[in-house]
Amino acid sequence: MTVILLLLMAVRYNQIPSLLCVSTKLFLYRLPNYSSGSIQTTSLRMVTLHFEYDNVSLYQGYNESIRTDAHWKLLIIANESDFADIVWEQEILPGSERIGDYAGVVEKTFKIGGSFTLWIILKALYDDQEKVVDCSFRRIDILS
Amino acid sequence: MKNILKERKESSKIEVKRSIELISVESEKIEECIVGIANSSPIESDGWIVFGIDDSFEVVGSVDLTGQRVLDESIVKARKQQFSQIAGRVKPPLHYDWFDVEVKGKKTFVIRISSRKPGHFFQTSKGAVLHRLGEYTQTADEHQIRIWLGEVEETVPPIPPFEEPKVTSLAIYLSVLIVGFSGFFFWIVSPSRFVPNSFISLVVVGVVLLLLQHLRSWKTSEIFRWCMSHSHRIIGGVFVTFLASLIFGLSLNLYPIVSRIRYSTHLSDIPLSSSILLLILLGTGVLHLPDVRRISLRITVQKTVGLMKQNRRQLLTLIVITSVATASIVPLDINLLICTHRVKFVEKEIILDGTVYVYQRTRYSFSGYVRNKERVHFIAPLIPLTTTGYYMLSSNSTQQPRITTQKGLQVTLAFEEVYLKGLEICFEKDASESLIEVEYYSEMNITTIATIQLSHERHVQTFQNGTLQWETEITIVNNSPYRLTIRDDILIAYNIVSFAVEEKSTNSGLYLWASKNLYLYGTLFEGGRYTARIRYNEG
Repeated sequence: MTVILLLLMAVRYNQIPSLLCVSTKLFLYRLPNYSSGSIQTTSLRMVTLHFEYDNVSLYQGYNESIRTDAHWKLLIIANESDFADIVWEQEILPGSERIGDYAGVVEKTFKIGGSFTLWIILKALYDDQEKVVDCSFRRIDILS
Repeated sequence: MKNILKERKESSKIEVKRSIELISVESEKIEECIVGIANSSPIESDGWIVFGIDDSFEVVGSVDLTGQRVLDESIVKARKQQFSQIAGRVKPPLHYDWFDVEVKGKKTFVIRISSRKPGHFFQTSKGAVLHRLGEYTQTADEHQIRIWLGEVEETVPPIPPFEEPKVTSLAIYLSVLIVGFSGFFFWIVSPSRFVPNSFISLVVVGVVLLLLQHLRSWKTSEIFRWCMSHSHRIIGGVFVTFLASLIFGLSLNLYPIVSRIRYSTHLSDIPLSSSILLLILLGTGVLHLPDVRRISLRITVQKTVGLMKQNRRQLLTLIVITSVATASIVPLDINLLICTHRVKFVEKEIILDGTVYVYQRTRYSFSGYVRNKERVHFIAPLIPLTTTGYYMLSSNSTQQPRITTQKGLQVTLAFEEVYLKGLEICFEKDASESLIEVEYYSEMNITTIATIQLSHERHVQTFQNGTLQWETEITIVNNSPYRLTIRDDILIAYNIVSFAVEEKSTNSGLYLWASKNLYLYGTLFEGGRYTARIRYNEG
């Protein structure tokens, strides 16, 4: 009976979400030698499975014939915590290379707990430069 | 004892042994012997085994196996214990009485063994069914066992014809029980959460059908008898659940000591739970009503007290286990999310938009505040037993906070005087996730991040037509990495007809404007500076 109870408790415990999913909605644009954009919203939720997701795509092209290699990078940093800091970065490279407006969501899960500061930093990459174009931060307490 | 010594022979219900030491040396034989005696002694009578008499029926007393040495008390005590263990491992455990009897100045040990009950028999710990034929112990054959088992038919009194009042009592009792139990069950668990779940609904329907199928083979009298004999257990079960619900409520009340959230549960709703308990008690009373003439109050009280005394250990253990288990359920439950909502995580955004708001407290003094946002994410439990909660969130500002988002719950702001002190939450039953987003303010000492000075006006001149000219100066320096935004326009001067300004500013979006009075409005950016010398004519 005790074993069954312990097993049920273990199953129940595993059902409870323990990963933090950071979902960032972006609005971006790029020109031949320039890129910029902003973080529209950042929302957090708890999930059970690890995943990484990016659906940034062309929203409105300016000129069909002009291409560019300017792009962006998203950084998610969790620091000022009792545990080791987490730094995750991803270059945002949409399928299209056209100049224009881009929009989409980047989602990433983290195994993290306790109190920490979560930074979302959007960088523009062009002409071999990296420039911070938008940034947001918030303090998080995950109760375990 | 006298008869044994007089007849000088063993029988199916009498066995003599030379030494008590045989209990230790031949424990298996002793076990077989007592099982044989207990099975062979006539029903409702006793069998005997005597230690201290040898095979020739001479009294030898409390001696060792050689018959030379008298055993001391400690050995006798040890053998008594061993005998008790042997009797205990017989299936079912054997009842016996131990007597120390002195015969001819020698100490003997006489053990009275209770015989089997009709329809039952004893087995050794190894499962052997034995009986005695005269002085010999033998394995009972199938025929013998059948005879023993058959005895039960003869001894059970015939079932009296079932009386009409009993049928009525049973019907009332079962109705009350079904209403009471379903009320009790749905009081604990919201049916709307489970009915849509087809698997659980199917299981419940299946169990009910199986139970009905099983009950079809029962006679009304058997159901009545079963209800009569189990009614005290049902009351006990409901009482323990009632007790558990109270302790659960108490435990929830203590939980804020270790967390920032205070819960409440409908389970501590005493009038409702008491009425269910009372209903089941009344139903049990009705069930026993047909036999009430045969029961006197004195006997009932005596029986109840006797029953409680007899089972006081079990009763106490049950109450202790219930209390401990229910009290520890809250901290455990906060992790397992079975009954209690849980704060999963909290997001705090301090100084929203990087803006500090400045306002004029009096004519020449200024204050500031910042806007913060806090999002609290809850996870709903499997069976929500917590209906309301209180989340502690305090603010030192008189600015009115507001709830910007509420999902899966209803929130009311709680204040102490004019300050925000917490959020009163009412969880929605069917929401699996809940979220509150609150925007609130924090007052701050503006001098720590900025210098704001408005000088007293100085009289410059009076014109011939009587118009007065005044001069004043305002300086704002932003030393912080935040923007300073003027919430309401800053009043510089009253009742002016014209003005001239000499401004010096860096990184500033501050502007003067005049209607009847002169005001300053706008934003001073990070590290910005604004100085204005203003000369104005009073109307």
